Amino acid sequence: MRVIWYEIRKLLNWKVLGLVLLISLLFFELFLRFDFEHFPNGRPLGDIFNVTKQMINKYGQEMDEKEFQDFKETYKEEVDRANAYLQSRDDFVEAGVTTYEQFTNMDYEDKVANELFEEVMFEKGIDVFWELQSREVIMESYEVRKEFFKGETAQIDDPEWKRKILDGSINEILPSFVVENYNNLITMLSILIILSVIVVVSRIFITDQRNNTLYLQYTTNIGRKLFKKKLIASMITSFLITNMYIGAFLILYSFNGTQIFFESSLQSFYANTVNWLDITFFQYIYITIIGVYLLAFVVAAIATYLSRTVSNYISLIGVQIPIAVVLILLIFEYLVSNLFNIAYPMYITIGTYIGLIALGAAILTARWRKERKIDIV
Amino acid sequence: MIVKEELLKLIKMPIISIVILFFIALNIVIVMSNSYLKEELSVLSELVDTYGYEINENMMKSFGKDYQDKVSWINEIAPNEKEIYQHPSELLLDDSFQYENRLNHKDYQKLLKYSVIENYYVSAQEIDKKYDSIDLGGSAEYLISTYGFTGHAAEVIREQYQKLGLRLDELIDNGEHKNLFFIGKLYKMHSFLFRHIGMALIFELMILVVLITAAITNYEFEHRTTLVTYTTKRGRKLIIDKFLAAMITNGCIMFGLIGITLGFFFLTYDYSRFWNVPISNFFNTEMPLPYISWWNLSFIEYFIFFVLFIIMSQLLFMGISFILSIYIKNTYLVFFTFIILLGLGITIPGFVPLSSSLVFLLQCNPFAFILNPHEWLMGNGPFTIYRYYELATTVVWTFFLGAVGSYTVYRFYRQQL
Amino acid sequence: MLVLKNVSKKFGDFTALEDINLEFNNGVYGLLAPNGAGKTTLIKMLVTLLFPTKGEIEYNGVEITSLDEQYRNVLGYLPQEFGYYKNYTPEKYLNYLAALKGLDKNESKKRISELLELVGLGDVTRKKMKKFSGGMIQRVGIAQAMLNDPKILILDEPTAGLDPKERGRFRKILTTLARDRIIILSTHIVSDVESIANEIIMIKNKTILYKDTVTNISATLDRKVYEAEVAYSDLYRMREKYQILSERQERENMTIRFITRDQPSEKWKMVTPSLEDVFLYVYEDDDTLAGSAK
Repeated sequence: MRVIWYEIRKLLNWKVLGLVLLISLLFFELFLRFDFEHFPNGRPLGDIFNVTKQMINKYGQEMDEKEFQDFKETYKEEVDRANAYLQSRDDFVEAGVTTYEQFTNMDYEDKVANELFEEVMFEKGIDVFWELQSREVIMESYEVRKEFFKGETAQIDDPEWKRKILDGSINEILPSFVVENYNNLITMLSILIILSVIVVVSRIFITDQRNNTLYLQYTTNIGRKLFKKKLIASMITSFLITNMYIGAFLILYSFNGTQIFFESSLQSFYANTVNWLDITFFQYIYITIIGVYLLAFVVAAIATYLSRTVSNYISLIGVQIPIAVVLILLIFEYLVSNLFNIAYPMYITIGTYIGLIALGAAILTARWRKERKIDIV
Repeated sequence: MIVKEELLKLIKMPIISIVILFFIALNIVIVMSNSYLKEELSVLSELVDTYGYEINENMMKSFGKDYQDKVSWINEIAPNEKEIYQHPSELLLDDSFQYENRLNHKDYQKLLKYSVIENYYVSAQEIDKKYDSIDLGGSAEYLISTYGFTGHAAEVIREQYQKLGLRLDELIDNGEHKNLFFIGKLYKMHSFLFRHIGMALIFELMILVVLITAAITNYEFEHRTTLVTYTTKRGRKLIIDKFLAAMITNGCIMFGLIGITLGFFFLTYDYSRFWNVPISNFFNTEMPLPYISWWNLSFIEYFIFFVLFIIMSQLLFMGISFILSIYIKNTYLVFFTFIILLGLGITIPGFVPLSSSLVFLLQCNPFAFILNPHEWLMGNGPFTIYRYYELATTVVWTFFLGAVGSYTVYRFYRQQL
Repeated sequence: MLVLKNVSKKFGDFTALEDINLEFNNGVYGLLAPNGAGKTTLIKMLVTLLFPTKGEIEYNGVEITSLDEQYRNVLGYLPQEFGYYKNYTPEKYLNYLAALKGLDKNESKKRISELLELVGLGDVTRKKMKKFSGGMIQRVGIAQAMLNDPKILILDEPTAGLDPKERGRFRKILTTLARDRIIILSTHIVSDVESIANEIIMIKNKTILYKDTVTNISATLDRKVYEAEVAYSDLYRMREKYQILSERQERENMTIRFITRDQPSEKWKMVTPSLEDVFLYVYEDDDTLAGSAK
């Protein structure tokens, strides 16, 4: 354990940590900050966000047909409020617009109408009109939810699975942009984690190899078992780095205020994708984070292997560029955020993970076998 | 001679060829990712073969006549006798037709092709209307409000859009907009080539250039041969040979990677009829506002400038990594320092309040420069809206890095090793 | 007791050592050969960095690879070029190696300060090693090798970078240590081992040429080494005719030391052959000798 601790300390020296911190800050600034700061992004998303939260408070995670009737009632009340507002405005009355229906049917080519509209929606930003718009969006997606789902899954022959979703989770409340926002964040975060793990862990062997420390290390009591100790050190370091990032991320993410949706199914009526697994948003977050940890370990395994086998820094960077690029492309596709999307057969995601883990395990086992009897020239 | 030796050191690093091969493979995948559009794109080639790419009255007349023939064919084959279709797309969108699938395969393909032609024909008729309705002043205000420019910066945007307005008038006078090209809103070929492939090339080359320049400059320090090499007759001047060797290698790699990637692109997508189509044509439009180049450039001219700017930016990156290498002397660190500089170059302009025209000045760095290659020489990017942005950025930085580089070499001559 | 039985080592097609048989008991052994003769290969096999292509190395009758860590536990090794961390202090560095050697944390603490004192680095234990001179680094290396109080201490060119004063002190340390352990000292500098080695091992043509005491080895040249004072004009002739061991300028003449089996001339003075003479004689026609012996 002492040796492992020493190896970890060598990996996490302040120079490297400073470098990683700097890179992380820039990365945050470029790819993450926006999705933290601008969520929900503008109108009407912000209004939809508020309305859906109210809905959960009122109906629970699910809105059944009966509750939907209630929702429509509320909509009508809001329409009345909008009507009252319009009637209170002389300029609208003058233009002959006294009801919300007339308001939505105004001729926007007309200059006066257009100006009135702009004023209400953008300059003054009267809440009730935005809220009405939001409620319309919600009602519409609720009404077409089953058709949408059937359309999206037309190619899939699994009536049992479809029936279960159509009878249950399709009524749940979870706006798609909430999931998308999380997807953007976790995707970029996993890339940042992978890059950081590469930068830190890659040094595990190469520094000792470059300055001949290996001669000393391999002739001590620990001998060739140092390979295993260093591997464990890499894994722990990778785990620590991932913990740190995930921890910071979860704290920052909690300010996005989406906790209320955690128990809603991903397969809500507001979803714009379909997933193989019928899981809640919280379970989804859980699984993606497990995915990130797995990737971090795989990357650490590969980096450790390369650090032992490659002889100089240029090759070390060079070899890892294709690896990082391929992983990043896969992360954008399906490794983290879309991991159960029906756009990909489920065995592809699972197969890729198993493949990556097997690859990592295979190269390390092969190297360990070789390491035990290799001549250290 | 010495340069040759330095080159050999580079060639003996197998990793560089591995990375290059990987990038070539990656670029081929990227290029192929749009190949499903090939067939639709080829429809335009046929049109240009028949009518030429220039849109004028005569051309539209014969185009229109042929189009009417196509429409009558549509009505002939239409399963629904009662309906009269004005355009191929109407038949395509006809639900009853869709589901009943009453056409044979050959006719169906023909119908699809006609609907593509319809796109060009119908849009071509709307060009004048579209350009009449362009309101650059409004666009400027929209930009100002979406990005939140205020004060002096907002003034700059307005001013630049006024200048762009003059150029727009000139463009219309020249008839640059009235030319056939792949429909941008549908196929996005301009962003595909100049943005996606361009960015891929730029970042790939950047990685290679930084690694190679750093590797060759630091070679002696990393192989503990400093004391021997820098005390020979050639001595510290060796650094110049190293610079030349890096230059030659980087040049070859740029030539190779750009050549292979773009060669493959033009082999996949047939542009042969469009070399001389003005880049600012109406069909190229992808966003609400059409692309407006500051000069009257044909596609091929624009393309040449594009390649030139890629090379220029890589030379700037090479200069930066050369300077960094002399100070840092460790490839691993140089690489990551460069990445940090890249990040800073991109983020720092974002920290300046959007009221000061410093925003525009700070964008004039080689890192911000490469972010929107599809808008080079265009009046379309809010931060790079100046007519001479590209020229000024590259030239000023070349001189700046030249000066810093010379000073660095001068210092290196006197440095205690 | 450390024994090599018919050990050969090949690197691909190249044979570095062939059919080596050696036996080590407690005491100092000087492994003497010019650079490139296979010294380092032999040593790396003794410290388990390389594995013999043929033959076995046994410690107390058991093969060393099967002894595994039991063997490395009694092993101390100073490689020719050994790695250290520039930003570490010798104390921290030795602590790290103590961990690798599986030493108890508290015990090693004491041991480290003792050792650093012994090698004369007691007052710089907390200075970063990047400020150290070559000699100081080498002394850290020696301390490192002795950390686990090894039964077998193997030192590859240990005196490189040490000044004459340090060498003397180092030899003294070794003699004390040699009482109850095997010390194998590889060098191409004859004077390093001449006075302290119980036995000298010389390697030539991939195999062991001598393994004997200094006296016995020197005796092989008995009555063959002479010294003579010659005029410069004769020097060239002498060089042609005899194998010169050393030349020394003395007033107008040169004093040369050389080997001959001829009937000695009267002007020549017969001298007692030294280890250095043997070294020079043995490796005279060896390509690898190139400027190594002093």
